[in-house]
Amino acid sequence: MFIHLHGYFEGDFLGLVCIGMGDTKVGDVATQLSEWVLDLRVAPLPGATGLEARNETGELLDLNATLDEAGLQAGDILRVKQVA
Amino acid sequence: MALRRDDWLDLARKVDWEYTYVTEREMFPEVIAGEPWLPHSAWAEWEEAYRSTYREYVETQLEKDNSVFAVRDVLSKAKITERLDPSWMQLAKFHNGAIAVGEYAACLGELRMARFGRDSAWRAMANLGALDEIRHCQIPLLLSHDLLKFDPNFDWAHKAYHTNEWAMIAAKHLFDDMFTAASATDTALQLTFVFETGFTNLQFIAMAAMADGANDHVFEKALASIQTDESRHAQQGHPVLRAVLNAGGKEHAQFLLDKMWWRSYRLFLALTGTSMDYLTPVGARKASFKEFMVEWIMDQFVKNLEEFGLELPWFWDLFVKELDYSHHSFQLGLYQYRQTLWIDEPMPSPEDRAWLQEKYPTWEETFGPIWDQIEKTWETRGVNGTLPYTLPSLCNLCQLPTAFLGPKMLTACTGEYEGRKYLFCSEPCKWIFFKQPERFAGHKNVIDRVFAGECPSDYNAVLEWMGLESVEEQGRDLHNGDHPWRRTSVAAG
Repeated sequence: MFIHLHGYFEGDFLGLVCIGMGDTKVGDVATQLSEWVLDLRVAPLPGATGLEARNETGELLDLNATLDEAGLQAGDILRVKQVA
Repeated sequence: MALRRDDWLDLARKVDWEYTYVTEREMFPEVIAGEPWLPHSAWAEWEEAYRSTYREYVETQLEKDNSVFAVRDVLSKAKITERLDPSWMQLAKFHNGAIAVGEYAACLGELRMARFGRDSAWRAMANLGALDEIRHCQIPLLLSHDLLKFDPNFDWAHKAYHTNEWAMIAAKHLFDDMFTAASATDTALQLTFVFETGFTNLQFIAMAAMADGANDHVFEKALASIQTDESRHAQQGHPVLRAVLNAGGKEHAQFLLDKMWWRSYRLFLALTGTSMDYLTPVGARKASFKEFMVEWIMDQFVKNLEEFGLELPWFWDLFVKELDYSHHSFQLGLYQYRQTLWIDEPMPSPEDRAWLQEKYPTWEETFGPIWDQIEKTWETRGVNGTLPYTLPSLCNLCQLPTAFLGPKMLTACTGEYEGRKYLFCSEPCKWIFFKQPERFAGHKNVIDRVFAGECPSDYNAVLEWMGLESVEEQGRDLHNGDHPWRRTSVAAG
């Protein structure tokens, strides 16, 4: 079943609709979001080694967890940022 | 000997009578007249300063119309329009599309007060207000019709309100909450006390000053003329608020004023803030959106609240902070999603950026890097590189895109109601929603409609669904990517 999330990428200005399935990895959604944003509006962070994802309350999420395992449901907020 | 005006005016305006075939409650049901429901004796002192008669109204309006038409006739012969700044033309197109038919909708609110307002003097004033709103629809439609030969998208002055275009859904959602789906009392507090006493000064007086600077004297004259009507019929709010407060309705009144302040601000940052600080040519900018808000809107609103013993809205600090950021974030969204608009959007030039930095000392640090990145994308990938890949997340209350205030300043939040999660751009929008969830939960924003299968998900099909049926109708970069300052820098380099 589709799960739509509201993705917010640090350094950007806008929330974007991201779509995954319950078994989609959190990291895959975060990567998709970063590709949309880094390509257009946000300069890549020098020395960036990856991404970090958090839920609305600020809890750090395991990028290898599925959306279901991370407790993300339709309509939730996913906050993503580059980490050096 | 003819009677003096003051000898007969009250007799003509105060024509309330006692009902014999129906009760007063049946004549003025609470659901549509408004709460708190009060007997007429509580409204009998209702009065406002203008006390216009119909005869005076017609004479004055005729003069005002003739004045606007005279300027229109003279300037059409002088071919002034051909020389207007292209960016300013977008502003006129944006304003007329967003406002013209909305004014016609406001006629419904005035007519509700003209029927269900609780005192005859109120009803008389609202009747004139309804005539005003028809005029406020017809003038921009007429002026937009004149401009069709320069730009066919001026037909959006009439079309916009009848489409699913996202900004118009946001405007209609607000106007429905404010007056189309509000009681007479709530309409008086929301439309006339908050929106017309405060915010329309910004849209009509401040914008008129900028129109003067941009040499668009027809638009200037029309805006100023409209505002003289607004100033009159906005007077309905004060006596209604006084009666509500006298009857112990402070909590209800405070909620409506807080709600409508925030909601009006959201729409104005999107429409007026971006127009003033980005679409107006630098030389025509009399002040920044923030300066106008502080000097023209906030001070007056605060005084009005103090006059009635009401509190500042609980979100005031956030609102003040937002004045430095929100409409700038929003402008980035308008530019990036320009295909979803009926106007073209400019990229800020170095001159614009210097002005923005002067007016908003954190602008360059906050928004400069994002505009730099977009410019870089124009250089490396052309137009397709500068267009978005996916849909933005929209607020379930104001219907506008949920934007960051700036880097690391995320105000978006969610809330759950009857098993569904709702997204909000900010805590005040969430607060409004949960004060009246049964009023707002059933409305689907554009993203909800995509997931409900009521709107296509393909980006180009969404544009058509919004009424932007051809590429020519969709907004573009104002310079089509050929930005004069980039040309210069390339040549110099």
